[in-house]
Amino acid sequence: MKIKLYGGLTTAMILMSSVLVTACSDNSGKQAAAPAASQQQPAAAKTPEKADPFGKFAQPVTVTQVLGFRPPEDPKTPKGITPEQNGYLKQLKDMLNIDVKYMWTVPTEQYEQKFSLAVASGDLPDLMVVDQKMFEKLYEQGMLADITDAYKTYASPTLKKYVEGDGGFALGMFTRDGKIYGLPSYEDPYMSTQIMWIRTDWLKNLGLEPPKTIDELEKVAEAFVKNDPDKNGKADTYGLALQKKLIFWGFDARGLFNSMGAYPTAWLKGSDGKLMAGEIQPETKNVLAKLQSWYQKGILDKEWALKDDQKAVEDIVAGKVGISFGEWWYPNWPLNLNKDKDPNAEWKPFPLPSFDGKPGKSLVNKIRLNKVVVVNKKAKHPEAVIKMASFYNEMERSKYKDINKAENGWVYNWYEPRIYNPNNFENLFQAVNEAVANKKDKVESEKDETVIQGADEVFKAAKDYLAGDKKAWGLYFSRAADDGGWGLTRKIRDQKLVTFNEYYGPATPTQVEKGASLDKLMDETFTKIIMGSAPIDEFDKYVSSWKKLGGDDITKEINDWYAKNAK
Amino acid sequence: MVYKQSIGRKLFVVVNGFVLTAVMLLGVLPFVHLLAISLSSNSAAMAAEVKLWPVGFTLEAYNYLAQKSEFLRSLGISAERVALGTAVNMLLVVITAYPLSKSNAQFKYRTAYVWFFAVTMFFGGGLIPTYIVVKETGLLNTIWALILPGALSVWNMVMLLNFFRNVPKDMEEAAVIDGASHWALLWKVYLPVSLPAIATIVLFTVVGHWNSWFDGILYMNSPEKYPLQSYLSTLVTSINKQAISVEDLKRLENVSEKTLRTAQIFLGALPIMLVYPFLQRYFIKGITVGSVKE
Repeated sequence: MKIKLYGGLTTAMILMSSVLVTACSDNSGKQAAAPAASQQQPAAAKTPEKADPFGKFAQPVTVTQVLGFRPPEDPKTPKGITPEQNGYLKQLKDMLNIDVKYMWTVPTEQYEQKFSLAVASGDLPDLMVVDQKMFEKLYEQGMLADITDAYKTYASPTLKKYVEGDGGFALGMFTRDGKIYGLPSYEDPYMSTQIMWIRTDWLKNLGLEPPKTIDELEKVAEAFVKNDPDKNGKADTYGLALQKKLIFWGFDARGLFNSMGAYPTAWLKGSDGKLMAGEIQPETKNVLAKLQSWYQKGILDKEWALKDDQKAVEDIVAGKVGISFGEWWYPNWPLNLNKDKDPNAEWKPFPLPSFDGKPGKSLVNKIRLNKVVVVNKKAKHPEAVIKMASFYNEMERSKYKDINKAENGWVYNWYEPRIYNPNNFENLFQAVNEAVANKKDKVESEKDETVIQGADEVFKAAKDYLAGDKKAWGLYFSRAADDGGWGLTRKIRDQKLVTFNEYYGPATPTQVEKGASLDKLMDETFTKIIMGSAPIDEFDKYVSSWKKLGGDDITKEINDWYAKNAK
Repeated sequence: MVYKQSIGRKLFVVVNGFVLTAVMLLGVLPFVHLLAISLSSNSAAMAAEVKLWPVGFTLEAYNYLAQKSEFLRSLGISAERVALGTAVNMLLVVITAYPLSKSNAQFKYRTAYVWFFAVTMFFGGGLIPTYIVVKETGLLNTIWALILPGALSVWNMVMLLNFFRNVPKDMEEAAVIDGASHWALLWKVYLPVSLPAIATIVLFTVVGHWNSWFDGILYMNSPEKYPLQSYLSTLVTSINKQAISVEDLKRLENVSEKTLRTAQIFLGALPIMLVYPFLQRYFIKGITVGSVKE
């Protein structure tokens, strides 16, 4: 049994409804002013006095923080080391005279629960790393410090480059009335582009071509069911991997929905310029009809509605299924496990198939936010936090490469605040490929001499794989191969073959209140239709209940937000 | 002399045997399955090919575990918690149940005291207030935070209280005539005849302390202080959101160490399963039968 304190929308609803409902409605006025002000900022910013981001405090400054951490990634890290002994903290003390004091350190899995408890009992540290939902909550309760001046004065140029790497869009989300309350760390939004992974050794066995349209995909999938693609003489395979949650993080139906122009749970601009919910559009109905027929043909597993993500993965590893929609990272998990088990297995990614002559366009969110770094209003030295963030990026420079090593007890994933280069992934791809192509023995740093996070590891995997080590396939094929996961994704990005989710604000009051039951209604209706226990016209009934049960209110709230925030 | 068994009797024996065997298998098979997975190769385990017998037998998971300090460390903390917690719980249960088992004539306002305790069975302060109490009393991050908040189980106390009340009055009177004080009565008369009840409560308490994991996560500020079940819970949590970051992926890759996970879960359940046989011999009812002639 799992007891989730604040996990998921339901509990958030219970615990925050009173706060959020009132607070969000007051805030609509404030939000309106925010974007306008944030746009003027660069021009209006007063020239900061000459301050050194790496200047040492004369007196020791203590910053309290909390940490969710996982074991060190590098096996060379000394055994038994704790976060308090991290090499970064010693260097931080020497260089900036900042003492970090952890109020608690827990495994990442428990961080959210523990943090919510700290919020509820009013026991918050100076420096906090939160998600968007928590940011809104803390902001509404007036717990956050205005870090505008600290940021403008003390952020290093590198930190500013990373935070504002998307032209200030992400920073604007955490700026209210022209005041900055949080520093976002985000990744390239295109990293969530949906692509289609197919067992190409099965295609070869059956003499088939990779499918380019939905009809071709259907033929390939049927062949995977009927024509014994693994040549073991048994009818033990099926076409498309699918888990019971149709809209989730992997092995789900998002890719198929997107291919046919349907975007459930996303907000798209309609022909009247207003945002509309993807799950109630006629395109969604088409996909459900398609899935219903696929279920009857055996392309989907008979028991898909009972399988969670782990079970869906088991089928992929066991070699029972040959097609899965998903993101670029599949080779690194779980496709590599399938290759471990069956050395003949070959997986390749393909763009989403086209439908009705229109190319499949994946949904991409406007922002792929990892976390927001915020400062407690009660903190005495907000600038210390900014310095700490700049410090992390400084330590990534090649001149520190000799001391910043795992064997010296430097564990990067225990240090916060870490604000990453949003283009890290693309830079890694290019640098590794450049190094491989020119037969170099190490990856170059970036122009500003920043070491590219993770590049050495991927470069080693690339060399090993190209030298014949099959174990290195996962890392290489997901991140560096030209026809691999990211290799294909970046081509789709360059062609701009995606559809954007236009809504990126916090959950609206009605969403907080009714979102969970609407999601449940969607899951149940869609599952019933696909399984054939309800006719496809059940969808129309679903649409009218969705509207009645709060959907119309949500649509109105989302459009009010959009009218004020659209950029 | 051989009894001739009727057909009905034979049928009963056969059906009974089947039903009981089925019930036993329901209990045992999940553990056999866990054991089989933990002894299999990882790719077979991930492909769900392992049923009741290991596929690609290997001791790798257990080898790795022997070197992994986290598991052994939290096992030690759990052992400490069970030993301390059970001692504290049992002492409090016994010395609370005894006076409250007396009649109102012997112990004035006894009923009121029982209600005082009983109220806590139905109403609690809630999670956050309890947390704040633990924090303000300075128990946070110590083993006592796991023991003191639930130091007296009212449910167990009421159970023992009722057991004490069923002990024949004559035994108590005989002891009092021989000059026994309440203290001597409790330890020399009541406890020895209540061994079945005590054994049951010890079992509940041990199992309760062993299995609870949520308080460890609430009250402990670093994983070095987690009891075993809190540590295990970090192995089985799943990702529950739509957009997953590069850091979440690292977690997914770890989750695929399925054999390692099962090995730890199996070892975590093992000690508590071994407790049952040792307590078995105390579960003999009617130890007081024949002690009093009426």
